[in-house]
Amino acid sequence: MKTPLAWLNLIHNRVRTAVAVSGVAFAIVLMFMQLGFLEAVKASATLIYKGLDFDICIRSPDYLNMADARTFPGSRLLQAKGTEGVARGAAFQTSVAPWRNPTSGEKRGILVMGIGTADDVFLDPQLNRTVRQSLKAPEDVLIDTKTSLEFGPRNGSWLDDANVGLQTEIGGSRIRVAGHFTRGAGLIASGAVLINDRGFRDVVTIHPPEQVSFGFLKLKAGARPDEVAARMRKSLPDDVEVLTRAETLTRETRRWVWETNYGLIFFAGVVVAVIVGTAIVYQVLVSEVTSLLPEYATMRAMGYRDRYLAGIVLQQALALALGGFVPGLVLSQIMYRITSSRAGIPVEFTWFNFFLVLGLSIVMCMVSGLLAMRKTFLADPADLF
Amino acid sequence: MGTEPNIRATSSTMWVRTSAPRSRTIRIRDVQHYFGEGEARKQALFNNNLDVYEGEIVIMTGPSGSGKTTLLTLIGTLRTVQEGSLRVLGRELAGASRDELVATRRDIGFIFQAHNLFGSLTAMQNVKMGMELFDFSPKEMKDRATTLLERLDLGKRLNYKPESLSGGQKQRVAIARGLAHGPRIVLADEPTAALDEKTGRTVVTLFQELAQQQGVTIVMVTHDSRILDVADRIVNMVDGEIRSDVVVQEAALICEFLQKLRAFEKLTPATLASIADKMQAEQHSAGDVITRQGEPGDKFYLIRSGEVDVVIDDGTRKRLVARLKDGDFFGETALLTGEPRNATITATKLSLLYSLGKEDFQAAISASASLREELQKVLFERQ
Repeated sequence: MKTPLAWLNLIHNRVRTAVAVSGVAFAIVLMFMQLGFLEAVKASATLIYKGLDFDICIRSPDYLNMADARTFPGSRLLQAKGTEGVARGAAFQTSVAPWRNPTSGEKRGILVMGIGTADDVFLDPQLNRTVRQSLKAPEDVLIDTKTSLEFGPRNGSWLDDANVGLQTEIGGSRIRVAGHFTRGAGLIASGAVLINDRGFRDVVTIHPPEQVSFGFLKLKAGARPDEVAARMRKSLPDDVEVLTRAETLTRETRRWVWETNYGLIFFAGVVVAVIVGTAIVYQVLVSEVTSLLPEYATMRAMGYRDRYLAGIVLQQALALALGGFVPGLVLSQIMYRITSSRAGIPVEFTWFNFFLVLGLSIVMCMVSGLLAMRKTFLADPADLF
Repeated sequence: MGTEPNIRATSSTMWVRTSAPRSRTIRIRDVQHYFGEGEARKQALFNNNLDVYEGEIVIMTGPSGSGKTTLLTLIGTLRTVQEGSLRVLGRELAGASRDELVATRRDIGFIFQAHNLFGSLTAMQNVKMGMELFDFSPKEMKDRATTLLERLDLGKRLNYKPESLSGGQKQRVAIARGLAHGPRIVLADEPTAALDEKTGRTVVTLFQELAQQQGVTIVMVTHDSRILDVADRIVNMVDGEIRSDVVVQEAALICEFLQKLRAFEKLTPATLASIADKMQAEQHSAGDVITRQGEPGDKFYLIRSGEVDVVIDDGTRKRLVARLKDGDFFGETALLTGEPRNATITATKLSLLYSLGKEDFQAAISASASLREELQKVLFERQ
């Protein structure tokens, strides 16, 4: 077996190697965090949609997001329900309205979602039951347990049953907390409530009567969503937009990731991480090569070829990439947990990001390695005598 | 000149090889070398010619900046040959491709003044690095490395890293590394500089064994006078030129011969050696007339081997007055007295002679005189 010089050099110069590995790990944590945040943006963007039971969504062509969904005539929903293949449909209203903190009296925007209590619009049957039982009166609301504490829960947590019966105002109308649900309002607001459609009209007065934000349609078994959607598009005028569930989710993701700055910010973060990592690894490798120039020159005099010396540098770069990846991965998982629990943002690990970061860190180290490798060409054995 | 395999020529002196012809491992012809470009271009080597044979230990001496390291790096393929011809182990280095150079390099063992060991590798691993380019089995590598290191008194340090070795120990590991792959030529730069007398002797003894038993050519730059005795030849360089190239044994022999001449008997060994340095070899076939009676004397001769007849023509008949053999000399009378040759001298068989020009001879005689005066002056002043 050949002497594993690259490896032995790394082990020998422990401090230098530790610096490099930490640098790589740092860059990797940075990448994982940025990609994790981006993942969180994607997840948050579609969080509410994903909790709803629908195959086709109709909404205003001016729709921006859940907080600014715009409206369309309720009669379109009736027309849509009449389309062949549709089993049932439900209206769904959303808006942001000022919630009055019951303790301090401060007002904050909260996402208000108005639903028909008998519509079973959620995927979660437990939630549908709660909605039917608790949202009888127009002033009854279910509050999201992920709602921020700024909204003034009793005993410091919205999970607490002590909040049931809490009274305050939304949009100037009196409301009463009737129970909880758990979802998260994503990026739109720091809190959310469910209210029945009558109550919604009371608290959100800007919505014109007979107009709704969404129509969620459920298809009969065997009906193909894209075909039904196509039929619907033909029959409905263009004051509504018809989307399948898949289209709705993709559009929402694309909108939040690419039509806002989120995607750019986090991608820039990844790029910066790669550059920082490359710079750190390059510095370490160059100082390694520079300090070993006479030794490399000696090897060249012995008859070792350029590619052997270059190979040593590249092997070291690869070893640093992998050596930094493991602690980087572990550390970022810990950071994910912390971020998820502290910030209430669902930062999740995905295998796609795993391989992306692994690939990026290898590329990062290889680029540094290739740049540092050129320094070995400075090893001139003629200088040794 | 230089066509016979057993005769070699250098820029300054010509010496005869007396031992059996061996193959030539290094052949340097009219090598010039320059450093720098354009205006700043400076010539570092001037018309260098040198031949080195297998099994020879050549020590290169000379002041720093005399070009000996430049010549060494050229031989070692570490610099590109710019002008002239340089053949190493039968391969021409001038204009050689990178691959040819690397191939040549692998037949050479380098021992640098700075040890340049990898700090991350043990003594054993460092030595193995010198062998991994070749087809040694792992066991062979281990055995060779162990044998060499033990030989160099490092048997107890096989698994030490350089940081736990003394300067001398590191130097010996580097020597073992340079020799481990069994090079045909060893180029060494001050290999004993960091060593004490005893270990330095161990190293040069090892060199001698390699040279004698395996025919390894060893070219060594050194200022260490303690090891000069191992040299077969001493090449002295000054200002980028080879000033002298002396076969040590031959020089000693000639000095011995020269001392028998009364005119030289008071000379110091150093002066004798410098005279020996200036002598030129001449080869004469049977029947060649070396000096002719009546002609002016221009050279002094010493017979290295062969036989000559001394014939005096007294006007009526030719008379053989003497037959001279190995170690005898002739021609000094004409130079000392300034008279024409008093005899005709003819080689009777193939003879090798060393000759000294008139001016050099007279300079040697006056050196002999000035030395005496100098000595008297010193002794006088001491009183």
